[in-house]
Amino acid sequence: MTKGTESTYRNKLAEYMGTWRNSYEKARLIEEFTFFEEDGIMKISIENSKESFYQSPWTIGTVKPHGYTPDSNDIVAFKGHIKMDDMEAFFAINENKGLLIIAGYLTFKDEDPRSDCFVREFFYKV
Amino acid sequence: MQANQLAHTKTDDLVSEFYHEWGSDMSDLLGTWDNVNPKTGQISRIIVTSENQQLKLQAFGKLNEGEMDWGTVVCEIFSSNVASPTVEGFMCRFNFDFMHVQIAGNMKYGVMVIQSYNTFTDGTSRNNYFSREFFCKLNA
Repeated sequence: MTKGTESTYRNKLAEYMGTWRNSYEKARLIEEFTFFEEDGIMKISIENSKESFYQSPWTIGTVKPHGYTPDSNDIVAFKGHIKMDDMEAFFAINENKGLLIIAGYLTFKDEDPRSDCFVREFFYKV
Repeated sequence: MQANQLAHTKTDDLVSEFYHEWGSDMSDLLGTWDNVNPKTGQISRIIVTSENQQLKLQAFGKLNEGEMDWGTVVCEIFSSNVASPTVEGFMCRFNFDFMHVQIAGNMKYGVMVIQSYNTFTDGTSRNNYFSREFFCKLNA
């Protein structure tokens, strides 16, 4: 954050904190995820869906909020990153009228035969 | 009558030779749908029911205090193609004294996407406008 009031930004950030559930009962990857803050850093924890093509437990990832313009103190999107033993995930997350849309780019380690893949899923606040 | 003899304006209007009557499955749409945006100034809640193979929609408009029950209307239903038995879209219209609201809805990965086309008929200078918002079964 470079501009705007700290309190406005914190209030906006607080609205995102908590658990978000996938709108689709046959979700391809994520059942739900939780935004939380730890030691002043925004983090994400993820639960796999029942039918997820990735069944290993996720480690905690880091998330960085983004506004719409450089001089705004709003938050409309997040960049997330999770690093695991077999895979790295990059998440581009944006908000649209109360819905969070995750575009996930999953990159498996070089020696892993699985194809790198892309998912896009929709979440609402629980 | 052969499928290709049916009146049509484009290829997708025609049924395939594998088509047979399936009926319409509306089950995915039924229930109470809440706007995922708690700050909306549009429709706050939708209740979808079926009766005698008709899809019915009751909408509630968000007010500064509470909400307004718009009543219940019958929907025109749509599948993703002429042979699909699954209803994935619908249209309906609410007529008020001073405006009418045309609703076009569709399902997308468990989200009900509602577009509304709002037309004022009271002669005021308000612009007609449209909105697009998202609804989920929050209490399911």
